[in-house]
Amino acid sequence: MSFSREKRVLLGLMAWIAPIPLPFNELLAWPLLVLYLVVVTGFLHRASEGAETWLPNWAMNLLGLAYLPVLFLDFTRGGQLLRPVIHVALFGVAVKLFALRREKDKWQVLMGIFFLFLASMGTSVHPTMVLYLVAFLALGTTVLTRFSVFSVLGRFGYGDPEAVRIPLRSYLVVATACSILVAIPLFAVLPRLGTPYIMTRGTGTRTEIGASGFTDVVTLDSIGSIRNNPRVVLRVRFQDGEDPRHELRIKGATFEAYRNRAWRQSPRAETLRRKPGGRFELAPAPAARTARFWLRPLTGAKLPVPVNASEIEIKVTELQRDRGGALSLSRPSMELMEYDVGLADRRYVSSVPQEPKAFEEESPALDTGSVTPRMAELADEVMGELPPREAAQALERYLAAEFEYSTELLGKGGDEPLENFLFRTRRGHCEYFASSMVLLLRSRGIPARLVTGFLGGERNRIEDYFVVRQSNAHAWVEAHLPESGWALFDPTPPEGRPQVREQSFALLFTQAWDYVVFRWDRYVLTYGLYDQMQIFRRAMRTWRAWWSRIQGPEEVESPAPETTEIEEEISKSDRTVRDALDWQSWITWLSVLLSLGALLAGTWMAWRFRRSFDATRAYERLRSRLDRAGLSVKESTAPLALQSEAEERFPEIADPSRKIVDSYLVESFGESPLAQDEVQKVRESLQTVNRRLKGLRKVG
Amino acid sequence: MFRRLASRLTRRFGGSSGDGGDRRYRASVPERIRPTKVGLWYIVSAVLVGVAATNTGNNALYIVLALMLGILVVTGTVSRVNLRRLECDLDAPEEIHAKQPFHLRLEVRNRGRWMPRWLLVFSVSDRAQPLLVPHLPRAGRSRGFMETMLPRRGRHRFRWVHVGSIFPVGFFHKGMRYETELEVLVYPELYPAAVASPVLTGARGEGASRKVGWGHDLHALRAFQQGDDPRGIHWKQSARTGELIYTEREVEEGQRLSIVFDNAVGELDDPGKRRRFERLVSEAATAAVDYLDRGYEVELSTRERHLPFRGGRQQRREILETLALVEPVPVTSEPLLRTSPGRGLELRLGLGRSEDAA
Repeated sequence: MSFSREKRVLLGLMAWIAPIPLPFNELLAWPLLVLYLVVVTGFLHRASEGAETWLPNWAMNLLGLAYLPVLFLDFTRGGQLLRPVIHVALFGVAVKLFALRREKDKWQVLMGIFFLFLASMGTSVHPTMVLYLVAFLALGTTVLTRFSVFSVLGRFGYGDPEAVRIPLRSYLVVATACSILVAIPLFAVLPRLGTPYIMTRGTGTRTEIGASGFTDVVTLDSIGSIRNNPRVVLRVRFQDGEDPRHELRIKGATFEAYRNRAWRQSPRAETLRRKPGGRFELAPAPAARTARFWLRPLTGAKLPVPVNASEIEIKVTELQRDRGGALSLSRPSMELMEYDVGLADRRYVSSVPQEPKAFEEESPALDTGSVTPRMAELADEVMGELPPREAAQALERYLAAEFEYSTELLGKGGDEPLENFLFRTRRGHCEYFASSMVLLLRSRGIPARLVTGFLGGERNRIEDYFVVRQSNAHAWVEAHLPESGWALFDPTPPEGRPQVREQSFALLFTQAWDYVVFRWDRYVLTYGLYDQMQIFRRAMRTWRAWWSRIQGPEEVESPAPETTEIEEEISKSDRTVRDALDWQSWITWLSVLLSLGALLAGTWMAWRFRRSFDATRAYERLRSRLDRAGLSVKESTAPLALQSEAEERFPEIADPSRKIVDSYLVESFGESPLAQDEVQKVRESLQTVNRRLKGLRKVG
Repeated sequence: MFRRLASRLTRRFGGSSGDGGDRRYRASVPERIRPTKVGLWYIVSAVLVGVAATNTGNNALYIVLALMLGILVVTGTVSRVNLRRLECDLDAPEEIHAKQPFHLRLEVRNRGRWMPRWLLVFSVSDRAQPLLVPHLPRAGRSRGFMETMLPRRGRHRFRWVHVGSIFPVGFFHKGMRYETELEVLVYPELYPAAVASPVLTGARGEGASRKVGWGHDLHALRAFQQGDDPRGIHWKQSARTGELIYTEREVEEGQRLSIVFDNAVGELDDPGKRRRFERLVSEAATAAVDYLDRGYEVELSTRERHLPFRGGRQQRREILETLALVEPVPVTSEPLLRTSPGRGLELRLGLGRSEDAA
């Protein structure tokens, strides 16, 4: 196998692997990837066969021109930047592979492959990307190493790698492993100046938003459509280990207005600020225990919390709360959110203490615009003249008992989905049940709203936390009762409600994998400045402890001034944010200083080790210039041989090149260095050579 | 006396040989690191990925950046180790003349127990052809030759063997030099043919052996006998006498050349004068080698040294050594005479004569 053949095969393999994750990240259509892989496989086949004829440059340029209209359409049709760029990169790599002629073509293809690799990596969030990364790293190390071997062997006149057997396998394995080992601490210490950002799957396709049902406007099928989606939304760990069966009803969004078969979210009502103690108070009920939440990034800004949440501690300065009590962040978070929620003893705590008198006719919670006469009749029939609480309970029981839970009718609700559900099909999923109950309650003058969120989860015993998936999405009802305020009702039949699922052997593998995914999310994808600070603090504490142990017991620390518990809580919380800001600016300045230092050091080294111009240097430049011009200049080519070859190939530069070669020989083998005017003549000769070779290239 | 000192030095950085840090410091010295074009592109790519990672906070890009830096660290370490713990033996041929290419023999051993060495390029100077050792197994050894040329006669010391490599990924060209103590004596440059012509001195019969042989001078004419070489027939005489006449020639073994090299030329502060002096030395060496090869006995007289008539390799070496080291001495009015007068060829070389000839 010749050098060029092996180079082609290696490049082909890299090109084959590079874009594979892109369709998984929804940045490339599968058919396009398949087409690309077929083309690259064809190239690999030809390369391994040692084919001699390849695409000429004019054909490559013609193909490039032919692609321009496609590129234009790609940009104008999709409206996104990344996809057309990826398409261009794939096209460029595929075509260029077939037109590898010069040495620099090889590096151009490698740059294209590296771009595809970056796009694949930058948009990947799944832990399996590690496998891709390791494969690419191993292949990349192999390619770079083999290329450098070929380069050196080629300069010494070897034409066939088989002629010089260089065993590299052990080195490549060890180097790949060591690179990964070194990269791990580097990843931890590389300065983070902003919060981690994650390109979610299907960026731009809004898959996550629709799946979570947390958009401003949702149709009745938005939750039902994701009941089979196993994607993890959040993880919860209850700190006192109590049975959380009843705690896992997590409110995500509330909806008041129902118009044109779609619900609209409750408007924002207030901005919450931190209370003394550093927490956000959600409800007046005292917190009996706490739970820690890890919320995976949603494209919306909603912050799901349990329905019995009374307070929350989260690393933001303010929270928004809508009229239905659902929380949201000021802007969507692109990182794994970690927050602690204080839970009241009761199963439900109203986070919006509204008085009954606040409800007037035009209140959205009493909006009966979508209640049809048949629905009003049904409400009268089911609830009769019962007081509000009993009426709501009766309706809840009625719906749960008389209607069937089903997701078969998804998207088949027609123009009047609730009418169809109540009077024709009598089957539907949780959103139909909850929406119907809301409208029926309103027809009786009971304020009510739709709530979407998550119910239940899956216990992971490996680390004792609960996994809440998209399939746990659920909808229920909050109704305002005159005697007790807002109360929770869930009219969906029990078989249709997502529940806490216990550990089973069948789930063991899934949960073990989820454990890995959780770690990946928490310590890789969302690793950020706060984590670095914690590591730094821990290191400092360890250092101080170690140092004080060395110092001995003589030093007695002065007692710290006493502070109240609340002050300490506040200062602890504020310190976290302040420290983050301090460190952020400190790291910024440090980076700037380091960059400046590196620049100065580089400049100084370049100046310090600069080489004055002499005949030897001119001769070296002549060699490289002739090499670039197409003359085969090997390491072993002697000066006079070079001169005669240059004269033969480029007669135009015969005189100046002879002058350079002669001066070089005099300088190298003569008894004294060249005089200044001689050096100047050599310099001029070199300039003449450059000028004439350039002229020749233009003419060619 | 010609001396060649070949030595080998063991490089044991951080080893436990305990023979002093100074020697270890002198044994191997890292040389300048030059980034290659590929390396520069790689660094630029890493910087761009770093900017993108910092700007977006995308940890996936941080992973890529960390890996790129990890590769840089690992390959940097490998390339450093790749040049260390080598043992270089340098050996030169018996006879080296100025401005005449010759081969230095290099034997290199890998003293590393864990890692082979790859793509080592050895050289002794910019003027020498480098030697590529593609692969050197653990504790293995390799031999090769490096062609080089030295411009001047006299003692020359090869102080360093340079080894460079772009292994493993070609981002940087790293270099290391290993100290050697190879000293060679460079003989004067030899011209393709003798430039100066010796003159015949003394009376025939004095001190010369008059034997029949294959030399140039005529010994006798006689009748051609069976077994004689037909090329020796004197055709003119044969035509004149009517029978075949055979030409007998004198053996040259018994002939002598005396080279009188007057190095009392004073200070050679002018480069032109220096060049002329060196040319004379080369002429003397060329004549000596030429005549010794033809079987002559050659004597050499300089102001400091006299080598009496002798032939053979030993004489050749001694004459070349003397001429390799001959230096100008102050001008004196005393003539430089040959010590063993008699019949033979004489070649007088001095700066004044050379100028006249020019």
